[in-house]
Amino acid sequence: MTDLRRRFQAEVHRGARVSPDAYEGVLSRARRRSRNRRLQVILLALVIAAGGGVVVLRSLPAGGRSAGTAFRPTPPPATPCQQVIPQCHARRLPNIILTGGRTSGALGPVDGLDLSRVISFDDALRRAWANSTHEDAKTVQVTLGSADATKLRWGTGKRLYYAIEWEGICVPVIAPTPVPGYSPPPRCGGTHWGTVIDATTGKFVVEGSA
Amino acid sequence: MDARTSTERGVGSAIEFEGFFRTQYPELVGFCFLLTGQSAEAEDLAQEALVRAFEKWDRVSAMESPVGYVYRTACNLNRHRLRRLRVRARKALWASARPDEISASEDRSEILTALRSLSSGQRAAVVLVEWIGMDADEAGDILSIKGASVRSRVHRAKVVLRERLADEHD
Repeated sequence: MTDLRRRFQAEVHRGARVSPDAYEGVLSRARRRSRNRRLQVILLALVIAAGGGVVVLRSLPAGGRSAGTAFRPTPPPATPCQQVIPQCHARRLPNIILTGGRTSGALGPVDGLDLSRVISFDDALRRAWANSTHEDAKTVQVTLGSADATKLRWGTGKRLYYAIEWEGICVPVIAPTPVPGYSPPPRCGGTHWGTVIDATTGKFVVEGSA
Repeated sequence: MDARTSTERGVGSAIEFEGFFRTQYPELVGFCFLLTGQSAEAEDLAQEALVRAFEKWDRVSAMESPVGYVYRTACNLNRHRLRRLRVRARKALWASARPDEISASEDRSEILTALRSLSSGQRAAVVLVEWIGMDADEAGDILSIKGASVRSRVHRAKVVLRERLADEHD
């Protein structure tokens, strides 16, 4: 046994802890996750894959009153991402507030909800970045909408959320190497990444790729 | 054709996983401990890697090296963890300055301090080869690099470790 190996072994023996109930812990963690996963995957897919809906929303007038009678809040102009986060090089697409029955993935319109206590679009972007950075993103867009938090298991009641959508990133595929000795080049499994932030508390809710 | 019911297959698979878990867990925790320098973090990484193996055990158990899969997963999880720590460190600059989790392990021991001075890639390579006893090609599969690169990483890591550990005694 080499000296280094002996020292590693001594250190592991001294410092590493192996819980006797680790196996039960692993099983219960797997069970818990399996319960939540299906719902979360569907929701994330809806949030992120709703790019088509967002395109329609982009063509809406910037704000003011719509052709109908309902009041539509106006989203503030989007600050360039680099001004909000120095490391961000993504082009910032216009901010969106979902109104008039329009939805974007899991988020619905904010109609009838009090928008006075929400954090700013830039703050939501900053908080999403703090959770996961995307230096390689080409575009980013922040959308304010609402969701039934109880139904989605994000909290309770109908709440306001920001969806921050990054486009043009590389979501690496982490997969086992099927053949020993073969090192596959890293590959991207997707280009979208979405993060949901609670618009009132600013807390991170969920994130992922579709 | 496999005449067993899915329940029978599930039970068999669970028993097989439990055997795998009991054999691999202590050494995997040791590996993670040498990577992270923290016992709680090490257990968490090891358990998470095994949860992921359990979730797709049918596929993982059919692989050439299920052990390689869990070590590879643990390495990837550790990379993500370091990324999160960097983000948190940046946030700490905005809020109040507080010691991060890496510096929390500063006073642990000579060997952990010496390991901390290596890049995460060198650390993983030297621990896989020197502690787990894998050969360079096996470690290369886990780290997704060539065996020759593993040998080079291990060589450089050992030079640094020797210097650091010698300094401690000077």
